Amino acid sequence: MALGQYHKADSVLHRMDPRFKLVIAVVYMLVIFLANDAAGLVLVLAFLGVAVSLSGVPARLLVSGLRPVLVLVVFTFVVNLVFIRSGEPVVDIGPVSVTTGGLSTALFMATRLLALFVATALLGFTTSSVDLADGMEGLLAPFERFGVPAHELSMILSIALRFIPILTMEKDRIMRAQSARGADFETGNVITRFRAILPVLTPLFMSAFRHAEDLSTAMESRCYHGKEGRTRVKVLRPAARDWYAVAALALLGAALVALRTGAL
Amino acid sequence: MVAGADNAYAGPAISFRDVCFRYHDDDQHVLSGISFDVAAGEHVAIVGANGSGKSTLAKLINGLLVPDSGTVTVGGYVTNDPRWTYRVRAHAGLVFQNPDDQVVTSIVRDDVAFGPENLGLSPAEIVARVEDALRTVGMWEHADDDVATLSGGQRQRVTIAGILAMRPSVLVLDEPGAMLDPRGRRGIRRVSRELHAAGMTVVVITQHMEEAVLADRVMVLDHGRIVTIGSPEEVFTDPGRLRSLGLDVPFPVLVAEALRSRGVDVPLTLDEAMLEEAICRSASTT
Amino acid sequence: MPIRFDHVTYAYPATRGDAQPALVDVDLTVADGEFLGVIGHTGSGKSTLIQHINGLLLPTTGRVTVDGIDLVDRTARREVRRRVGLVFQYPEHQLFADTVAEDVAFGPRALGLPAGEIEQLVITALERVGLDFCEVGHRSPFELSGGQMRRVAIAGVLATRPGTLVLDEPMAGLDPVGRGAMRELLRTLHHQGLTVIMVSHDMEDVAALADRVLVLRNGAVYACGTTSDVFSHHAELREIGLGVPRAALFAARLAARGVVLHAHPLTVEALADAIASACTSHREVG
Repeated sequence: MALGQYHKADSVLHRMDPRFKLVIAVVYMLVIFLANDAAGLVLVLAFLGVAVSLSGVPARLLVSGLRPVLVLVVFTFVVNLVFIRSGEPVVDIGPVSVTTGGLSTALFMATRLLALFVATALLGFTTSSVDLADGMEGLLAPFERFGVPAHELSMILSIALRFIPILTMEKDRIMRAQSARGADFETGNVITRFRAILPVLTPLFMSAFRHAEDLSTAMESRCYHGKEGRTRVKVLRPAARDWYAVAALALLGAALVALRTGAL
Repeated sequence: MVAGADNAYAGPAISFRDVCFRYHDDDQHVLSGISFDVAAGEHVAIVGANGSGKSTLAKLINGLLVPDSGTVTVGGYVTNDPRWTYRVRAHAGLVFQNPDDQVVTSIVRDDVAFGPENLGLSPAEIVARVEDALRTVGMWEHADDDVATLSGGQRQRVTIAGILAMRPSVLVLDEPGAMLDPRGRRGIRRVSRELHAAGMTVVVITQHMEEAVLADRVMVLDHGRIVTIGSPEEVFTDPGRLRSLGLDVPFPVLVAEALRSRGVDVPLTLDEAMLEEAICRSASTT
Repeated sequence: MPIRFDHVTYAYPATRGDAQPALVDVDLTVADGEFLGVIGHTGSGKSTLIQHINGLLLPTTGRVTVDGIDLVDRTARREVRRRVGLVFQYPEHQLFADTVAEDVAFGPRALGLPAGEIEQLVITALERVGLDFCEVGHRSPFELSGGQMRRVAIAGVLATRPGTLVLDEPMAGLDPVGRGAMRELLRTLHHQGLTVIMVSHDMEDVAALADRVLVLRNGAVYACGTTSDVFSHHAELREIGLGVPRAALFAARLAARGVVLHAHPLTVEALADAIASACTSHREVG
C-alpha cells in the first residue's frame, strides 16, 4: 500500500487534477462514516466501485495491493463479531455467541475500513509522485501569505518520494552485507533485535547524507534557486471531470445525510 | 541537434588564469597556479589520480565554486561575478558520476524540465527543449517512464538530457561512466561523441584511458597542478611517467613497452595498427 | 569440495509466476583453493548466484552445499557464514562502528567466536589487508580515505578466517593505483590458500587472476572452463555482450596477419613473451 505503487495508465482518475483528487479522497474517507445502514453502505461502495472502474487499475493489482491490510480488515470483522452482543443470537460457535448486532457492526466496521484502504490505494495507483507533490503545492499555495512554505514542502515531498525506493534498496543491501557477517535480524527479543538495527541504521544515514549533499550540488548546478523566477511546465487546471467528481461526492454525502435523518 | 548559446563570443570557451583554490582556510591548496584555455568546439580530457583536484576543477568551470585567486571565464563571463552565476551554470553544464544523485523527480520528462524551469522559461519553450534533449540522447521513447525502472546508463543519459535542455555550449562530464557497466559507458561515449560532432565543447574527466585517448587534447593533473597538456599521443606514450602520476597506461603502449624490454624494437604509440605493422615486420625479418 | 550447486533454480518472490527466473538449473562445483571468475551481462544472475553461496538466498529448487553442509539448515548457515566471507560491491558503505577495530570485530562477535581471540583476529585481519592496527584501530572508519575504508570492510570479512572469499566487483570505483593494490591483495590471499570467487565486468582483471571462469547468461550457465579456454571463444562471448581480454584480441589480429603465436596470451606480459619468442625464433631460423 505504499504511495510508491504508481501504475502507469491513461484513465479518468489519472487525468484528474491532483488537488481535486487529494481533497475528494480525504472528504470521501470522512463521508464513509456517515453511512449507518445497509442502503448507505451500498451507496458508499457503489461510489468506490465507479472510481475503481475509472482508474485503469486491473483488479489483480488492486487485490494484491490490499493483501497486507486484509489481515486488519478480517481482524476487525472477527473482533466485532465476537465482542458485540446486541440483538438476537444467530449461532453459537463454541463459547462465542454471534448476534445480529455483532454481525451488522462487524460488517459495517470491516466494510468501512476496506473502503478507506481502497480509496487510499486508488490515490496511490493513479497519482504519480510528481502529481502528488504538485497537488500538495497547489493546495498549500494560498497559505503562502501566512508563511507556509508551499514550494519547499512540495520539493521535500517529491524528493523524499523519489528516494524511498533507493533507500529501501540500500537498506536491503546493507542488511544483506551485515547478515553475511553473521548479523541476525530475526531471532531474539525486542531489545536484541533493536540493537541489531544499529549496523543498518548508521550506514543508511551516512548514505542518505551523501545523497543529499550530491543531489543539492546537482540541483544548484542546474540553476535551482528556490521558487523565485521558476516556471512550471505543468499548470494545474481543473477540467469538467474534476467538477463532476465533486458533484458526485456531494450527492453521495447528501444522500447519506438524508438516509440518516430518515428523509429517504 | 542542440545549439550552443551566445555564439557571438569569439574567445575561448573556457579560460583559467592563475587559479588557486582550497576548501578551508587552514587546508592545503587543492589547486594552484592553474592556467589553460579550451577553444570552442574542442574535446578535452582531464586525467589525474584521486586527489589530484579534477572534480574541484570541474566545479570551478561551471561556477559552483569560485577561485580564491585568479579568474575563471566561461564563454566570456567571469564566474565570480554574481550577476553571471546562472548564466555561467546554464552555459557550462556539469554531469556527475552518480545518476541517482542528479535526478530530482521520478518521471523522466519532468526531470529533464527541471533545469529550464529554474531558468524561468515559458512552458511551451520548456516542452520543446525537453523533447529535443531526450531525442538527442536517444531516450525520447522513455519520456513517461519512472526513472527507477531505467538502467544506470539510461539514467545517466537522462541526466545529460537534463543538462542539454539548458542549451549549454560547454558540457563537462565528471567521470560519467564510473558507476556504469561497459555497455552503459559505451552509450555515454557515443552521446558525447555525437554532441562534439555537432559543435559542443566537451570536457571529460576520466580514469578510463579508452575515453581519454579519444580527446583532441589531454590535461594531466597531479596534486593540484597541471603537469602537462598535449595530444593523447604526446601524453600517453611515456609509461614510466604515467605510472608515477598514478595513471593507467593505454594498452598499445603497455605492449610496446613490454616488447622493447624483451629486445623487440617497436615504437611507443597509441596507434594499434602501427604497432601491429611493426610487430609483423619484426617477426618476418631474418 | 567447498561449494556445490545442484540443479539450482531461483525466482525472486515478487516475480514468481510471470518473469524468467533469476537462476535456471545451475550446476557448479568450486574446488578448494581455486580462483573462479564469474562474468555475465548485467542481469545475468551473478549477484543472485553469489548470494546463494552463504545462504542469503535459498534455491527455489535444487540444492546448495558448502563443505557438505546443506544451506537449507538454518543453524548450519551460521557456520557457513564463518567459512565463506562475502564482500559486496562498495563494501565501505556497510561500515558503521565508532572505531575501525569495533567494525572489524563485528563479524567474529556476531558469529560467536571466543571473546578472548577476537582482538588477535582483528589485528591479523587488518594486517592482511595492509593496515596497521596501532595506526587505524582506534580511529573512526569514516575518517579514512575511500581506499582504506574498502580495505577495512574487507578486513571485517577476513576476521572470521574464512576459507573462501566471494567478492562482487571488488575494483568498482577504484582508481588505477587502487585497482593495482586490490589485484595484489587478491593474488596474495589466493596464494595464502583462500578459495576466491570474483564477480567482475573487467575481463583484464579476470584474465590476470582467475584459474577458471563461469559465464552466466540469462540466469543459466553458458560456459565454465579454464580461463584460457573460455577466453578463446571470442565470437561466442561477443555475441552475448561480453568482452575479451585485449591481449587475446591483439593476438587474434596478429594471427590474421600471419603472425601466429605459440600460446593464447591473456595478459600483456604473456602477449609480449609470445611475440618476442615468435620474433627471435624467426631470427634464429633465418
